[in-house]
Parts: sequence; C-alpha cells; structure tokens
Amino acid sequence: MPAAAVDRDYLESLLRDRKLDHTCWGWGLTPVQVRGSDPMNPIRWLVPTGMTELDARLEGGLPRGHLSEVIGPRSSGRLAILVSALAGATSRGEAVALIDPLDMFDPVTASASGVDFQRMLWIRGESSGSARVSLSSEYGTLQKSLDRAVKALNIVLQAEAGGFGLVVLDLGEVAAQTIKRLPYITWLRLHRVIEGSETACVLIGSEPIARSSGGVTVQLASGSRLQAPGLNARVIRARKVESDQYVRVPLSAAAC
Amino acid sequence: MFACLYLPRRASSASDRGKGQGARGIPHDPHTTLLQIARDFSPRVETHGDHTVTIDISGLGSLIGEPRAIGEELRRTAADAGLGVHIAIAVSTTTAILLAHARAGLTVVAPGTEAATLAPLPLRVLTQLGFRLQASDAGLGPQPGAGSRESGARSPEPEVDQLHRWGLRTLGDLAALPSSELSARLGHVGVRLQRWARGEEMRPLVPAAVGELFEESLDLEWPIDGLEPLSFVLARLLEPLCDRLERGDRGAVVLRVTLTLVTGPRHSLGEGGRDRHERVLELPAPMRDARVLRTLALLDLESNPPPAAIDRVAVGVDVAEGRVLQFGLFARALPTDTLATLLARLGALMGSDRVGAPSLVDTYRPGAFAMAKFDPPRTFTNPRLCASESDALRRASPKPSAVAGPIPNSSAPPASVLRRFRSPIPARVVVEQGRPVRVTTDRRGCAGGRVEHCEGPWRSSGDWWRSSHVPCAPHATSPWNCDEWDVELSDGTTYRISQAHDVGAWFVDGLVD
Repeated sequence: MPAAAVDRDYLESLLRDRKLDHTCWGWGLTPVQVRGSDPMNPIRWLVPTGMTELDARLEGGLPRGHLSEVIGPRSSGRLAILVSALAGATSRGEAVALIDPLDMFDPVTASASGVDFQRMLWIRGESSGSARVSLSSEYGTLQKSLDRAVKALNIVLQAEAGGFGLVVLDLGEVAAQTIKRLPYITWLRLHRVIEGSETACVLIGSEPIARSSGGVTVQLASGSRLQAPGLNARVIRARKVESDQYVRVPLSAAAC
Repeated sequence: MFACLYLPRRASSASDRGKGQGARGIPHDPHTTLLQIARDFSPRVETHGDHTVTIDISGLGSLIGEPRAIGEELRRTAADAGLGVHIAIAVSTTTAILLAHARAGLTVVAPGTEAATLAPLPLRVLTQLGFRLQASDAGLGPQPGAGSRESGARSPEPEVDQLHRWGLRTLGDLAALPSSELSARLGHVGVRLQRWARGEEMRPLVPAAVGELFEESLDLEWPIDGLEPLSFVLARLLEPLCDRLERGDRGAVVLRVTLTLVTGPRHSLGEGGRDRHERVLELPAPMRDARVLRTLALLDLESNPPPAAIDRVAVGVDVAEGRVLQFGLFARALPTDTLATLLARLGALMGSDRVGAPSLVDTYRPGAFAMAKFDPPRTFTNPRLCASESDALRRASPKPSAVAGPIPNSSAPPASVLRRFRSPIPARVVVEQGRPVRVTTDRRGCAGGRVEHCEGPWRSSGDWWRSSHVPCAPHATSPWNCDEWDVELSDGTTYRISQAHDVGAWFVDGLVD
C-alpha cells in the first residue's frame, strides 16, 4: 500500500476516534465514501426534519454534533420546521429540549404536529412584557433573558443526562441587536461543547447567528401562509456551493 | 456488659414539670434527654419504648473504670439533667432490663449471678415489661415515642396469671421449673418467660439509628464579598459534608445555605443580633456530589445575592436514604440522578416553575397549557441506531424522498405553529364588512399594517359562569368570549388576532411561524 494511503487511513482513523470524521467531506468525498464498507465505521448522524423536500436538500437531516440554524423573517415557517423535527425525534423515542427565552411556544399548535410532550423539556424564559415599558428596561430584560437562555443551552448540551437528540434555542423574536451583544466566543464555546456529541443543536433566528463548520443553515423566504400554505427553504453549508433556488415545502393550512 | 436506664413514669412527669427545658430554652422531652445521655456514653444504644434505654458499655472500662463506676457516672449525668433513673448493669440485656424496672438506684450484677440476682424478684415484673421484651425478641421493638401497647406483640399476662395460680411467686420459682414440663403446659411462651426469669440473653443488642446532623460551618477571618470567593468556601464545606453522606449512604434532599452578614438590611436576625441571608434549595432527588451541590448553591445565590459582605458560612442538608438504580443492558439508560441534577441546575437558573414538560389541559381556552415534571419514559433509543436506520433507508433508495425519518402522520404535511404572546398585545383593528382590513399596535417590532388576507372568525367562549372577567387572557380562570382571526399583513407576517366580545377590544395573541 502506498505510504500516502497509509497516512491518510491513519489520519482518518484518528478523526473517527474523535468523532471528527465529518471533516473528511471537505476533501471531496461523500459521506458514503468516508464511511466505506466497514460497518464499524462511524456514520453520519442526522436528525430528519420530517419534511421530505427539505430533508432531501439536507441529505438526510440536521447533523448531530453540530450547531445548525434556521433563519428567516417572521411567519416564514422557522418554528414549523423545528416542531416537525421535534415531533420526529420524540416519535423515535429521543428526548428533545426547547429553550424558549421569551416564553412564546404554544403547546396546543405544536401538539397538532405530533410532538410527544413527555419527551420534551421546555425551558421557558420570562415572557415579553407590555408595550409600554421603557426602551432601556426592555433591552435590559431581553438581554437578561438571552443570557439565561444561552446558559441554559450550555447546561443542556453539557449534560449527557438527558440524552437529548435535538436541542432548539428559539431566538426568532429576539432582536438581532440583542443577539449581537453576546460575545462571539459564546458560540465558539457551544461549538466545542457539542462537537462529537449525539445531539443536534439548532438556533432559530431572523438573521445568521452562528453555525459550526459541519452544521447547516436553512434559510427561509417569506411567503403567504394563508393563501398558499408552505415555506420556501434553501440550505447553506460550509465548503459546498448550494443552488440559489428555494425548495417549496407544503404545510397544512393554518395553526389550530 | 450492658446497662439499662429506666425512667419511671412519675419521674418523667416531674421532669416535665421541672427541668423540661434544654440549655437554650428549647423544651426537651424526658425521652430525648434520656436517649441523649445514653448516646453520650456509647453509640450502641437500643430503646425499648419511651422510658427504657439499653447501652452497650463494653468499651467504657478503660475510660471510666469498673461497671459500678460507669453506673455511678450514668446516674450522676442523669441527675444533672433532672432525671431520676433506675440503672442496672449486667452481662445480659434481659437481666439489666428486669432489674432496672424492679429496683430503684444502681444495681450491678456480677457475671454468672444473673439467675440468682433475679430470683427474688416478683413474678409480676414479667407482666410489666414482658410484652416489650417479646416484641424485641421478634425484632418488633416499639419506636421511640410510640405507645408501648402499639408494638403488636401479645402480653404474657394470661400465662403469668396461670403461673401465679400454680403458686409461683418469684422469678426464682419459675426458673426452677423443668423446661420440658413447662413447654408441654404453656408452650413456647412459657419457655420464653422462664428464660427471662433465668436472665438468659435472647438476642443481641440492636443499636438504634443515630439521627446525625449534617451541617458544616466556617467563620471567616476576613469578610468576603462576591460569589467567586464564596465558591471556594462552599467547596471546603460541602466536600467533607458529602463524604459523610457517602459514608452514611445518604443523599441530600434539602440544601440550606446560611450566610452571616457584616451589615445590610435585616432579612432575618441571627444569633448575636447579626443579619443572616438564608437560602433553602429543595433538591429533586437525593444527591451527594459536592460539585453539583456547590453549583446549585451558587446558581441560587447568583439569582438571590447576599446584600452585604459575608463573615460566616454555614451549610446544612436534610438527608434521605441513598437511591439504588438499575440500568438496562441494551437500552440506553437515562441516569435519573444526573437528569435530576440537570433539572435542578436549570431550575436554579430559570426558576423551578419555568422548567418542565408542556402538557395540554382540558379546555378550549386559547393558549391554555400546563407544566408537568419532565420525566421521560425509560425507553430511550440510541441515536446511533436511529441514525443508522435513517442511513440504511437512504442507502436502500437513492431517491431523496426516502431520506426522511419516520414522523407521525407522515402522509399529512407538517402543520403551522403559533408563537403566542403570553400577554396579548392590545391592537387597533379597522373592520370593513365584518372582516379586519387593518391592524396596528403600539408594540415595537409589531407595528402592523394592511390586511392582505384573513381567515376566521373562530368563536370560542367558556368559564362564563365565573364572576370576574379578563377578556381573552390565557391561563386565567376568568371567562372568555372572543372571535379569533388569522390575518396576513402586507409585510408578510401572519398574526393571530382576537376580539373580546364583551368589551369589543382587539388583541394580537400571537404570530404564525
């Protein structure tokens, strides 16, 4: 066997030992090629979203052990994707966690998607107050809620206890300026915590927030939710050129 | 050697009336005092009801001296505590108990003379404590504070009456009877009474469990301010505490942190007139990991910081028995302890009522839900297996449509989900021909706009039989009567709005996402 091939095999085995074999994909190999024919090789772990068209674009689903994000404007279907993924994960017997800094999750409509609440840990922040609070106090409350939510995410990701298959941090209604006040090391630390674990972590936001190198970004475009129920999504991932075309995913007509 | 301390009932009553208070003014019942005196001499103490305590004094010879000296010391200590007790010392607990009940003062029985010492005692002494001994023989000794007659054991009074009718008057008379003849007439109860009369040991002493206090404290040379130095102090206190818990196979269920402050507002006045900052954490499961306990305490103190510098730290725990967990061989086990720790940490950070599993409630009230304890079923599957199934599915079919994992109702498209404002936002809605055409609010980031499309109304009402009324307020017990609409605005956002019929006010309840 050529020395280069031996070195490469050795390098790949080292990466597998640290559960970093996904980095081999950047060498131009597909996941199947990386996995090879050895059944003992680690596989690429995925969490399907339950939306067929989107999972096809995602090559199976959201990657475990990485930080991914679902971004888009309001009413673009960000939460619908994650609730569908939560429903799929709980139906497979996995525990899931939702960190909800502004306490906006609605269990009634989520139950229609099939989420098994027995397996769902819901961490609620303080709900947004009335419209007449002062600007500074609202920003202060938001920042405090966000800080606590990130700490809670860190605790959940560090805990092997829950065996969580999917962890979602919903920042969809948190202002982008508030998120940007967080030091960027926050997300790098989360990358490090989740790397190699069996948990897929997903952030929901209106703008790109953070994504680990092996994670994916699902970008959604606005569209009518009442006249033509559905969402328009495209996938962005590192070191891979994606098509600019959005895929159309049908949704049922309206929330219950 | 064993010593028995018996507190006669009249002495107990006198003690109640007289010196019924401890050194700190805390009322002590005579039984507690008696037990404490016994524990001061030996850790091997057994209680027999409220008034009798047996002590193993085998190791006290080198410390105090002869058995009589030990007995004198016991009597002096009890007298100092205001208790006039009968004390008997013998090789067998049976002899000591019988003599303590029959004779006042101090009685010391030389080894080998038990039967001779007991012989002159009246037969009726067996009636007074026979049931208690019988319960002890069966391992059913009454617990301290329990009524003597609650042991469930039968009193040997009928047999003693029969012996009395036979003309027997003393224990010596009973001890002299042939055992086989006695067994033929009175059965095993008769034999047992005879063995008591001879002072024979029936069973070993069973020490009562010690109610150990799990507390640690530290007086600081210099006051500290802030959580970082406090974390080191807590670690120093919690580590030995957790070692004691480990040795005793106990787990902490309640953690109490008491910080004595230098100055500050008076939350509660401590000893010596100084302020104290007390925090009590109820733990979801018994735990004895010092790091976890320290983290929980710090998280709680971070949310509720002390108002001034600290010069004394005390930590105490309420304990429960340690838990034994059985894990499965194949299924991925969910470690309950660590899950409980996770929930405790999250509860300390977010608030215990903010962490749990959502659950639905039996009502049509918009947005109604409840929080349940997060306790997922113990049938966790390994994500590796799930992923391999998904991967196998993908390999089996090259078509992308085969990639998606199983979800419930996979034939139906996923549903839209609502983000709900827990406090509905008051809105101004322009209505034309019975349908909303414009929605505006004063909420920043939720200005509103022209309605491009709307669906509704969905009318719901309930709890109208109640008195108070808060229109369309979720989670309230007030009545509601409203119409809900889904409106798509010109900016592309779809809102759920509602109109409270009684007052005509409009609210934005949430947005579809």
